[in-house]
Amino acid sequence: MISNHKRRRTANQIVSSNRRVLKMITNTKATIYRMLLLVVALLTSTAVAQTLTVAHSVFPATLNPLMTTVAAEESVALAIIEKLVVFEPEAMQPVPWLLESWAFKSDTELLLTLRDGISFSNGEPVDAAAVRFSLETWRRQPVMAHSIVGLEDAAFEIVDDLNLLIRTSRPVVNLINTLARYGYVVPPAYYSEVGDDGFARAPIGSGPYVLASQDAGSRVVLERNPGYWRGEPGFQQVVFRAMSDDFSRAAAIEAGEADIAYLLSDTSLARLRNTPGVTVHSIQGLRKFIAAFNANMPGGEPLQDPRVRQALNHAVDVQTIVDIVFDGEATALGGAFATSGEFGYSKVAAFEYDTEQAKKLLAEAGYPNGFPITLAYTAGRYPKDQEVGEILSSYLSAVGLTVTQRPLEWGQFAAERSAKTLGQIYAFGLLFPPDLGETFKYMAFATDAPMIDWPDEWLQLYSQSETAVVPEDRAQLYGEMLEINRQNPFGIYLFSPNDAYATRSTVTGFQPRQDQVLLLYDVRPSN
Amino acid sequence: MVSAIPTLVIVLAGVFILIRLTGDPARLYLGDFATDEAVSSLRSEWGLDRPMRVQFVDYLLSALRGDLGISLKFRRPVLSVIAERFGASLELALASMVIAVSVAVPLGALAALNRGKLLDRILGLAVVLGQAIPRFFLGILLIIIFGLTLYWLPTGGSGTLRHLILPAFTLATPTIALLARITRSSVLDVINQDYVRTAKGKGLKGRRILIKHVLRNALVAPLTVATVQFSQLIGGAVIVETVFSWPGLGLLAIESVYSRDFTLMQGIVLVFTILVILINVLVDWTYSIIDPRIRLSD
Repeated sequence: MISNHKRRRTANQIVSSNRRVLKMITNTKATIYRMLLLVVALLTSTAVAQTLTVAHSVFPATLNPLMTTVAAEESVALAIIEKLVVFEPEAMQPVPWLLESWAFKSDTELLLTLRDGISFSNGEPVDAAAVRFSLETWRRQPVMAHSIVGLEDAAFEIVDDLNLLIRTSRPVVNLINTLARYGYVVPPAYYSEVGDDGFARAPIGSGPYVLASQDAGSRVVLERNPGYWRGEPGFQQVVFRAMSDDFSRAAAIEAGEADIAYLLSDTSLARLRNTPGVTVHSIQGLRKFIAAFNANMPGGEPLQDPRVRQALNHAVDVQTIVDIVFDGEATALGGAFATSGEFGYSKVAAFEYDTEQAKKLLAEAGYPNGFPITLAYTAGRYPKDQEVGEILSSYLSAVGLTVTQRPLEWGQFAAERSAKTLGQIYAFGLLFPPDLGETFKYMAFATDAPMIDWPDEWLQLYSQSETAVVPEDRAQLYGEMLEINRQNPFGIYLFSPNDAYATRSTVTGFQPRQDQVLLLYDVRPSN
Repeated sequence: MVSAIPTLVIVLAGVFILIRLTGDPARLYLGDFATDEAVSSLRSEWGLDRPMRVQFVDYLLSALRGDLGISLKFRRPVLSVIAERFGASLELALASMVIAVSVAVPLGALAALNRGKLLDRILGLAVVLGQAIPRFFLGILLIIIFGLTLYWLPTGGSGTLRHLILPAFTLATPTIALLARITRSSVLDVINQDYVRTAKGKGLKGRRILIKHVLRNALVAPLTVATVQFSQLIGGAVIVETVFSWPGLGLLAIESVYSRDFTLMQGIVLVFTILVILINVLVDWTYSIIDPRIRLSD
């Protein structure tokens, strides 16, 4: 007989044993649960590892590309909203993106044909109606007034869902380049609902990524658009970190906190080139610097003689400025105010640095002892602009000119440039669209353009170029105009600084672009 | 407080005029290639074609209603743009103040207790260095050491406590130096007071005397200075926030200058001015509480 006490004890032992088993099971469950959590965490960390971090120069004030001309802001927007046409990175030739093709039906009619089956991430179709809406929205933005010249009264006619005809009242020869620069396509129903500013805060497009969140002043986070028409984008997430200081962007890429660093100055490049796992991409940019002539203002009379203008080009050793001031990270423009990335560029004989030749030309023009001149330049607007201004002054003094320097803050410089009171020579830089026609139009006809008398022959060629729809014809005309500008310089042609970026070995497919816009679709994780 | 109103109006008038002397905001906003028609149309839209005094009075009246205008860059009310960034600046300033007080007070006391000894001299040298070193240089130095060499801390950005350490320390350094110096002389003053000698005579232990009798009385001066310094920490964060990409008001001020967002610039200056005035009023009020002999009416 087993006593009740013993039975109870045995029962207790069984219960206790069961509890231990239960505890073991519970522990095992907990362990499995923990392991599952670990796996999830690992998976999550893999997902996080698929984040592309860009050390960017700005926190975009707007994500509406129809309202900004700032390339850094466009770079963020372009991951969300796409263009009809893009410039291919190296030669800056326009290639179709949302478009399947384009065709000039006449000098004033351009037919755009869209790719079939593309939708915005909210489901609206990318069709001719969306393109018309986008072009009309772009055309009414005050900040775009300069870019719509020739399109003010253009008609955007829908032919069918995929075809749109742009009909202009006169030939607009750079129309495709304009579309490659500004031709963003937005979803019309959503845009109409939220308006310009609402769209700027919460944009929707057809691009590889969609907006996930914005942390004011700090970062913009994008997430993969799973239905992207070109196929899966490379990353689960893209983070644009706003780092306005150039050193901070360089430090972020060096420390491995960023995968791409946007626009670095030459001072950071040497260190980054020696950093394992970091690649520096330095390409000639589109910004061009010139010391322009105001020959038609008081005191500018000597500059009316083309020999004097040539002499001043011979007086400045631009290559030395490039080598010393920019550590080689720039390109001397040579004999033309043009860069090789621009449409219509052709090589023109460079001005040799030759002070004897400069003095000889000055003497021939009747100024053997030089003449007094005011040299204005920007201070703090562009990297090293003040140093360049001071060096220019030394070079001009060396051939006999008496130079009064005027380093100016950008606001005052811009105001005086418009009022034509800067000085007989003024040095500054401009980032033109990659088409020489834009440079010529600004330099000869803008209200704040240099004051010189343009040769009749040049003006005739320009007039012809305005209606030369065939690109080869226009390029030919631009070549001839560059030659005339070599004989009759409208300024001292200086240099074009390189645009430098850096990437880590964690990514591949990055291609620097002369228009300073990031196109992230091709960027992929390297593994 | 009422006497602060003329200060506010004068500061605003100064900023209002100076900003407009730096160029035409409409032309600068539209960029290099803007046509004259576009510029004049925008000038008219923004009311810049009206006489400046009319614009200023208009601005003051709107500001009284809490309307600081629309930011030209962000195209949103200036107050909402400032409000978004204010928290980050406050966080940085508070962290810097905590660091400054908790480092400076012990250092100052230590220097005073070791007056004339090697430790005092070393600390004195550190104080001079801390006050002399420019914040941008110190910031870059710390990034190179802790971000790029040791890889202990992020080089910039925000979001976690680790992001806060370097910018807060950089911002705090001159304040540490100042407070340490003031704490040292304050402790030296107090240490020779009769009540401290009495405490020693009563046989109290050194640590108890230091904490209960010396520091308690000596801290009045450094803490008052710390309060005044607080407004400078918020306003003086411009460089530190830029170097460390810290998304506060200082960085916003720089961005507004570069983008010629004159409504935002005016708004930031207004907020900074109000902040400084408020802190000064607070300091005066604190004085009167700490020392009843001082009355606000004085």
